[in-house]
Amino acid sequence: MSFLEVKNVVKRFGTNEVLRGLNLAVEEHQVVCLIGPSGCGKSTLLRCVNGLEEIQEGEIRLHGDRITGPGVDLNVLRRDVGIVFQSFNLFPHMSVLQNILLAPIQVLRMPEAEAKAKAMGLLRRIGLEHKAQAYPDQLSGGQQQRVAIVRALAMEPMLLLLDEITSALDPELVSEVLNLLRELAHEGMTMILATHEMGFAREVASKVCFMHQGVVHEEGPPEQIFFNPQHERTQQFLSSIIEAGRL
Amino acid sequence: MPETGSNLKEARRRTPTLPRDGFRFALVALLLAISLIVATGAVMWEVKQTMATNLFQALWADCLLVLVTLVPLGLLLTASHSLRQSRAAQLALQKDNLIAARVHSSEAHTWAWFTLGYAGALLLFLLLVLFFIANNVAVGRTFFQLPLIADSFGLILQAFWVNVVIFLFAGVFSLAWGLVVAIAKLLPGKPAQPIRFIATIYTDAFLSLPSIIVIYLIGFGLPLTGIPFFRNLPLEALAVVALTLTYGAYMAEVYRAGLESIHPSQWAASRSLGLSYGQTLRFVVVPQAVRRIIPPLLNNFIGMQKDTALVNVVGVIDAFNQARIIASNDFNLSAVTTVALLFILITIPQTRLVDRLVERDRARFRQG
Repeated sequence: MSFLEVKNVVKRFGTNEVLRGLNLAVEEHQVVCLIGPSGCGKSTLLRCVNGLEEIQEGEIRLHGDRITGPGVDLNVLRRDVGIVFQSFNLFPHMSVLQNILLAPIQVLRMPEAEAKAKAMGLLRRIGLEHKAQAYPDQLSGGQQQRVAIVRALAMEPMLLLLDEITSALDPELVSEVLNLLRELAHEGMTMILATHEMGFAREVASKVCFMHQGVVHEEGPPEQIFFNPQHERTQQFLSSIIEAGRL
Repeated sequence: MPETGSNLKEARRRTPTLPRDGFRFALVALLLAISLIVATGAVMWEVKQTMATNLFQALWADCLLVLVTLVPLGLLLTASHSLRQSRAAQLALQKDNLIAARVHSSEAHTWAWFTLGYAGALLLFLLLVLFFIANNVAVGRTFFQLPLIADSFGLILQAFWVNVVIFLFAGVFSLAWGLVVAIAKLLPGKPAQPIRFIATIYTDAFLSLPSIIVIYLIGFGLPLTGIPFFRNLPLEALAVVALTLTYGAYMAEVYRAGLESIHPSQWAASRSLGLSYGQTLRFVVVPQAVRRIIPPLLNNFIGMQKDTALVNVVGVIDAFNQARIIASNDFNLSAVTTVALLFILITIPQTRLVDRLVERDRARFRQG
């Protein structure tokens, strides 16, 4: 039994079938990278794992416990599974510190002093202590995204989902976010990344999954997927990535 | 066809556009300025005559009249400036100095428009003065008798307190009630369907009912039912209930627009952190929504303030009712003018306050 099991998941938006019987297994401390063309269902898969989208068929299990279907307490699930979005989605009316404190205090009922000490520790770690009282729009994109990651980490999730978190950033800001992810990976955080950063995927991924038309088309260690892809569609995708100079 | 097209283009390129000739416009401005000077003199003379027939004589008044008569002379300055500039433009054009001609011409137009704008304002002022003194100051006497205003001021201010109390209570209640209704209207899922339905019917009904009818039905009707609770309530409280119900519907519509304007990604971010639906509303969505809708909420609030004058239909002695009693005793409307002034006085600061709140918020969100 794997840490996270996605079995035959089907997700439809109306008549549009986005996930078509998708299977995926993730072990603890693994970093799994989802790659594939736009619209292949990477984001949708992550949103389903976090319970932001309902699935129509199949099931998802975390630690063997079923986390989809009726009767699942999504609020409890989401304490264990954090997600970071492409567009940061910080709360614009709250300071950086308030953004981080909200969930630990309201959801975990952590005492304020304890939560604050922890949040400041996390901010120190990403070098943004001095921005604790700043508002999100006073930060650069890279800083905002790092705060968003820290906001998710403050809940001490077992699994962190990262949905193309560097796609909305200026190129020179990408590295500061990737460095943080690299650190998390070395510490053994279990993560699933949907990403277009192939170089990064090659470096940190335990497993790379190429998604196409709502299923995992091919999966394996990064060397195999990037240098010896078996399927024709994977080869096409990678050669267009190489043409664009992204690998 | 393409050839003629490109020829046209070439031709256009070779002949630069000449500046507009501002001379005639400047002349019009000058004539207007002169006629307004004459008109102002005539109107002020008329005022002086009216003062004489009413045996009113005061040095300050005469000084004021002279001063007002002199003001339009300023228009002569602007108009003649415009005239000079248009002349300079013509001269520059004769010397083939196209750039200087354009500069002068644009100056001429600016000053001519300037003259026109101020002349228009002055004209309105003169018309107002004429209206005021027409029929031997009939308008002034009917609405602005200073002694009557001074005499009635105390009583009316006291009665105005009733309006203030009513709109403060109804304001707070309708702001809270509106939010409840808006949230009820937006509740998701099948189980909430009846609640959504009721909330929709409520807003539909009270948006279409004139507030005067609601006040009448509740203020007169509920005590008539004989139910002890309603019979013992003061009329003011029933007025508060009526206004809360009416304006709660308006507020609810504003809240709903605000809540719906918050991007779904904010919901996703909050829910993904484990916050419940209610917590997301309370900490994430409502605070952002309210910030966006402060101006329309306050407009409703001001609208409700004005509608407190309607409570006289059920016999509450508010400022307007008091003023009407005084007005019918004096056979003069000056007391009602006092009420009007009071309403204006309390409304203007609120409008400015909101402007400032909005500006401050915008400034903070604009930083960085």
